Amino acid sequence: MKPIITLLLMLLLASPLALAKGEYMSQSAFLTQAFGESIPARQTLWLRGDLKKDVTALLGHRYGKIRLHYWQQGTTTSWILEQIGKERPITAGFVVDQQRIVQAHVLVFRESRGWEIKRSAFTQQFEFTELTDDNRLSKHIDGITGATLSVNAMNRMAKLALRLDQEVQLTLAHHQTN
Amino acid sequence: MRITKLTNRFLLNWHRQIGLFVAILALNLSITGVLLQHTELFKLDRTYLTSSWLLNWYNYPEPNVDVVHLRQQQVIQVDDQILLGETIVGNSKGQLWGAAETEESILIASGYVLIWLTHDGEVIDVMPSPIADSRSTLARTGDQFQIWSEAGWLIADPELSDWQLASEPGELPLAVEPTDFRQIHLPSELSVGISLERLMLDLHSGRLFGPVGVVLMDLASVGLILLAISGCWLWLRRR
Repeated sequence: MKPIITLLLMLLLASPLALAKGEYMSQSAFLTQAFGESIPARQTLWLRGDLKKDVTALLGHRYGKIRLHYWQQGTTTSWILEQIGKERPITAGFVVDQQRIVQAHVLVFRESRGWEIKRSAFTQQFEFTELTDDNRLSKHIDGITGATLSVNAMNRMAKLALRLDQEVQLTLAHHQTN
Repeated sequence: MRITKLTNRFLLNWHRQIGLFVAILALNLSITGVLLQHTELFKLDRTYLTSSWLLNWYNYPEPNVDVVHLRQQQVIQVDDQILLGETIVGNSKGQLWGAAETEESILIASGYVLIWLTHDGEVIDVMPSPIADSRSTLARTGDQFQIWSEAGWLIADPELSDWQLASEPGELPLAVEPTDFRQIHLPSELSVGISLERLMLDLHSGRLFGPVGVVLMDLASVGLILLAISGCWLWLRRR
């Protein structure tokens, strides 16, 4: 009896740690949730010139790479972005429609603390958020005790997704005009 | 009066003996203490020592280092950190198995990861490799990168999004060379070796010499306290 109870206690204590890190949602599952069964072709956006400067100003540092991929269908764009929480990158997906975030998901979490950001109670706060003229989110996002750095990383990625969507829409509008 | 004289002589003798005992240890405490007070000024936290005897003393595992020599710089993997020259450009849990450069960019292959960079070390993209085999290698033909696979040589499109079978590369692959980490200059951000700060802290506390060192430094500290008390007493008595 004692060994069984010990084993159960160990599993109970270990389970939060086991849940902390890992892939919560695959890229394909995220894109299916965003677009349904007909996922559009992947497109490329290059961080150059003014866009690169804007992104650096918005994040407070350079983004980790200069080529980004996105998926677009009509006025909806989807982005899979990465930012470091405390020490390791967090991968998150954002769906933007008409310059507002309509979905936000944590796809991969690699730290041992702060995983609470994956909960829908947190990510749903980003819905209908826009980017203000001074590069802030239009809604206040409530933090999570013990997950400040992870929350900050999500906030930065949300702003980035909105800014990148703006760029895509501007480019599209420019092409249509010409 | 006689009792006072005896007390003074007793304290004086003890003061001298304790002083002798703690002299060297007190010197160590003071010098390391001053250095630690000004860690940033002396860059103790950014200077790393890599001599074999010190690393052995600390049981510090020597890092695995692999290097590929490009025309004007090196691609270096130190454990899981990947550098272009002295710039950290990525990380990989696997082994470095190739690097190649064109006029426009550099491609690094490690484990399951391809890191595509500008010559300035700016990351263009990080992609999964079409294969992951430490026996494989990277090469190039003109401005296109190639990877050797069991099926033959693969060539990438200019966006590195698609790999197709192709003929042998025009340029020979560059060799991946295992290297002793002491033979290359590594940036301090990698924290390879024992930092001077760590060494000073361990000297200051005595931990460098294990529990015996800690006890000795404790005794030296107690000795300094007794010196201070006996010294003050003697000074007061002489007045």
